[in-house]
Amino acid sequence: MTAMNAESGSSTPPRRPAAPAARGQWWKAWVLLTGLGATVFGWMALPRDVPSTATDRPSPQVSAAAEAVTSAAGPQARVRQRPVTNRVRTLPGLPQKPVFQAPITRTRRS
Amino acid sequence: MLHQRRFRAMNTDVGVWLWSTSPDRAAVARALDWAEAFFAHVEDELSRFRASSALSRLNQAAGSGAQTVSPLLWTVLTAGLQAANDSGGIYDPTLLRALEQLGYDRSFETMHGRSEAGDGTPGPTLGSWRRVRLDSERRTVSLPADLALDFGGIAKGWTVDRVALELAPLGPVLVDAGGDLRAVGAIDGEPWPIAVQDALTPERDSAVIRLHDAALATSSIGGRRWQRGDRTLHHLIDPRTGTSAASDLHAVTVRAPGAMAADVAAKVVLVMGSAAGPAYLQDRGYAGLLTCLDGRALTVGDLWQEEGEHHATNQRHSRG
Repeated sequence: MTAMNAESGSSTPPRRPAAPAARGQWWKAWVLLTGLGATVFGWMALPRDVPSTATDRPSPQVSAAAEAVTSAAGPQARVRQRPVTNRVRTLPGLPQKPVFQAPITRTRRS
Repeated sequence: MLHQRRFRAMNTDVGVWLWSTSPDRAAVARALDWAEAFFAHVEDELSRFRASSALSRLNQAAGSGAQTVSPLLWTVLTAGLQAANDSGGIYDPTLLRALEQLGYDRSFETMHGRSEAGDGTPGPTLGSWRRVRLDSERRTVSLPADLALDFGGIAKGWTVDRVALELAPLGPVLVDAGGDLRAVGAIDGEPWPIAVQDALTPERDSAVIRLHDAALATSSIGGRRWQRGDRTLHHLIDPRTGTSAASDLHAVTVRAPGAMAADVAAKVVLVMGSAAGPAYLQDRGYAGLLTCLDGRALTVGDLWQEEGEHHATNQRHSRG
């Protein structure tokens, strides 16, 4: 045993004590891993933007308007297009459709 | 966005509605400016009440041989003569002398409902429009000394058509000049709702027409009327008698592809009466609402453009 230990001890290089600089890297790795884990956890916890019911669906006008906006912005914008959700209520810059709740004018005798 | 412009022209209220999604609002404003200026230009050229207008100068030169006229006057005159031909002379742009003899010799607002001007006894004038001589190569017009032109029956409708078609490339448009109106296009397929003035109670509306790529015009004997001695006259002359038409109709509203066509047809039907008038509309594919002096109302053709309901060949008695 002693001999083996002596052999082992003789064949294994002696463990060098960690340098003060290397010891300083461990806490950085811990911080990085912790941050990464928190990011992944947070991402998984976010709600998905998927309509769940028929009432969540956007109106055809809103969908068409969103499509028109992305089409006008070009193909790259289409790639980045997010799913249209019921949160899309208005699109700034788009004209408002008039609602003809009353006649706009009237015939008159001449 | 729905852009709107209102102004006075041709002695009436004019409205222009233009739907445009273009971000270039300046272009839309320029188009509406043009529309307003164009109405003023036509009035300057074609009003018989302005002594300096091209029409007045031409009338003053009647009997003096061929006169060169502006492209605008030429265009409206040839359209008027075509309408006279199409209506068998019931519509006639050469009836100004008859109107003046009956007392309508100035703007109606200044007559105060009474006039003794003229001798009051014009004779039949049917076919007088054929006496106008045109030279299309030189763009000249020759009027006999006893003839004068009045575009009161078509100039407004012609201008409405022209403005509507000019603005149409910018988006759906509605142009209304004192009830002569035309819609080109519709906003997301939604027709323009137009109230129909009650013929016998003008402050009320009797119905709503949803207009889409069509025109409306109304003629009535209830508006421009005046007293001459013990006679009550109005501005719609029957060229067969040379005096105010005496049919059984009080008002006619016509739906046609264009405002000028609708305006002419409304006048022709009002002169013809309820017996012959519906056939005139049906032959041309127009629709109309005829209000009789006794209050009856006849609907001819698909005036309301109701889906699935066609009464092009039926007269519908909706009142009385």
